[in-house]
Amino acid sequence: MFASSFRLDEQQLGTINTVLQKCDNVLVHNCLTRTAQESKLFPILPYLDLVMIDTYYRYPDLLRKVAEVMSPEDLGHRVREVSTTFSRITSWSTLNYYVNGRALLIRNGLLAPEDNLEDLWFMVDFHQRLMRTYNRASGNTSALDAGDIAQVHEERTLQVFEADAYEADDELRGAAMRFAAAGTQYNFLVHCESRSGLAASGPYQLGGQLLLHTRDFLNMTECGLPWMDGIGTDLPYANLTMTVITDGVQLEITDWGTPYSVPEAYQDRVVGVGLYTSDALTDRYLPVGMGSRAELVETFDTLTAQIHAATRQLYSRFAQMDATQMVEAGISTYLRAPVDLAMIAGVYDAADWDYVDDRTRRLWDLYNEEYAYDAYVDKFAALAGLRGGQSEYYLHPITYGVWRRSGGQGPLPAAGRSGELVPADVLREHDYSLRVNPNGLSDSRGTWSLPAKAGKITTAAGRLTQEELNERARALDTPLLKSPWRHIDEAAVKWRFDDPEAEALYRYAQEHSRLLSGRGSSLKRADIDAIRREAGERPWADLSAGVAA
Amino acid sequence: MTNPMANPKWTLPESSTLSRLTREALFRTVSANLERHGADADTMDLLSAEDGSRIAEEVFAEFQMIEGRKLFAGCEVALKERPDLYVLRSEAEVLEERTDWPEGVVGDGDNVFQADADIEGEVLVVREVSEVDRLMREGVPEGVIGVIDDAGGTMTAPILEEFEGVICLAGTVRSHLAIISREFGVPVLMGARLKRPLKNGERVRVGYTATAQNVDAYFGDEVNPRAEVRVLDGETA
Repeated sequence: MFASSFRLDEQQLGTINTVLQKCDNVLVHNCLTRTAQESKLFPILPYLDLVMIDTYYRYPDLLRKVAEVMSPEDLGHRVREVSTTFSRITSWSTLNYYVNGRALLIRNGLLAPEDNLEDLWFMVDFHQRLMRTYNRASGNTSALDAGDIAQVHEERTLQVFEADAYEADDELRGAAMRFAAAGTQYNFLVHCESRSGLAASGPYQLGGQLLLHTRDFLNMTECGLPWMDGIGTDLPYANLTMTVITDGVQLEITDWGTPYSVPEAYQDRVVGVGLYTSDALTDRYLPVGMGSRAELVETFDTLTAQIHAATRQLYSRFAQMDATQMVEAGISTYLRAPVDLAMIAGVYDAADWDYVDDRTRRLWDLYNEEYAYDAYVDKFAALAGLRGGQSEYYLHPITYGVWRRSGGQGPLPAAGRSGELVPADVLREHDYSLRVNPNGLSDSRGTWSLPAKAGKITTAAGRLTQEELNERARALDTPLLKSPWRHIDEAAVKWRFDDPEAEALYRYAQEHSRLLSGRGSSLKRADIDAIRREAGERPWADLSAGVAA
Repeated sequence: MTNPMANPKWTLPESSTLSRLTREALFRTVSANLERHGADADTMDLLSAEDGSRIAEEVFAEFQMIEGRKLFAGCEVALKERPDLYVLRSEAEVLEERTDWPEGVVGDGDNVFQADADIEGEVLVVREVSEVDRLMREGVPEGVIGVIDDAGGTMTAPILEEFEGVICLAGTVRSHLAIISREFGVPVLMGARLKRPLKNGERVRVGYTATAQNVDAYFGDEVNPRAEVRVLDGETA
């Protein structure tokens, strides 16, 4: 007689273990380029380790609440069309935090690898299904798979970005780059020294050596983060997306969502820019300050000044927090990786998110500044530890690749993996616990000492209460989620671009475009070039200097 | 829950004394609690909040006996609240053990991007949040090269663009500070190694025209030469 009703089958087990290893590969690939993360301002390592444990206790039921209202496929379609805080990095880290929390608990002797497999299957299945529709345009669910390229958007969106970007003269280029610098710096501060609110997609080719990529700056003013109440309230939008066209620049965008360029200082090779907003309540990008080049310059300059003021305001707020509040803020920042899914589904409740679970809190004193650092190095960098996923024979593909590329000098890297695979004999015994919270969300209880969220949440539809946000989200009846448009992707358009439904879909995507409105689905690059010429603007090919990257 | 204390065949010891002590203490407690509560134990039965706090204290006491020091903290607020427990890690950093420093060179680092010119300036060491707060209010003096030991993007956030250049004693060219410095066009050396500590007010020339460090060096590709920091005005390197 089995002790539980859920049964994992062999196909599911295979999916789980390959996904766990994939998650580990992405993690190690990105960790290799970094030293352990410390900051004088934020207690990064304690919050980093503790939040992973917290997500283990909370994510399955937080996401089940979302999945009761919207399928993972629906959510994937929604987040592809806009920029939300469920982005390149947070889409990966939603699963990564959970599986690393699981691994840390196994290392601490508080969990066995065969525990709570219904939760693990739910997390893997939810994540994989969402990631497939989110990334359907490229087919790559990780940037690592694509060689550190993070393409998300489909042609109808990219054509609008390409057509509508303004040619960057010195004034516009300078304004855009000052905005990007100030926005990046401020966003690290908003998110407790993490990249949770910075995202990017691309690069997408525009011919020659011209590339387009997008840069997202998220949660820039009052949002769900409680410490943002009253910060940057003159900023009109929480989420801003800058489109950037470069000439002669090599770009890569990793799963951690940061664009890296060669040459490193690429600013003088920016030839075009645009600016948009979007969020959980939009189903397309909405232009910001795009009425004219002069308006765009002024918009960037105004935003930059507002960001500078908000930076100083927020710095002072953080400098007044105590250590416990700083760790709680860091935990909250990371925990909220998938929070925009709840907002999209219209089931966001701050009470579900704004606390630290008691089961995590019991480890608070143990994960002090130095142990948290050592535990991070052991688990994420050295792949060591008595309960680490070590064997005498396993060779990590990423660390081995580094050894091989560096000429194979010296001994091989230590064997290991940080993903804790599920033992296959669970298929034989079928005797394991199912869920970490047998009674659902109500089993998760906790506290925090941060001030409760009191302000509103900023959206493209204005500043809203939680209730107003949920109401509007539930009322958003986007045709993009319904057949036939839902099933018209790039591959379909390639063969059936003259289908009346494809034409209607493209017109919907072009509705707010300054140059493509009403142009439809048959446009090719030459048509966009011609449209720009008609509007008195040069096509991008004319701006390429043919500089070797 | 199945038995989390089962003995694995493959193990690799932790890389630090503190990790080992913490794990040993945790395992002792969880094993004892498992025996007391049996196989149906809830996770809070295996380790309570009181257990966690007690273990932390015991481990710290044992660690101090073995290592003869307090714990390292990365962030200031932790030290401020628990000076009995912590010293700042950055205070304990040792200088680079190297005897072949070229004449006049006092340090080197990985260049984040290749600037148009090397920069001469006056050193201003910024290691505390309160110092950033003061500079935020009073402004960074002109012609200053900031020397910081925090590779994060937030500690110096409000004042970074006011420096002529920065020498960062930690991190890599992919650290948050490096990302931001590229955006601002403020030249920065990351992971700088020093022959001796740099002092406020001394003048240095930093080789920001050096080739930027190859980001793929972290994946095994060729490592570019590090940019040098030279002393000026008769200072001793």
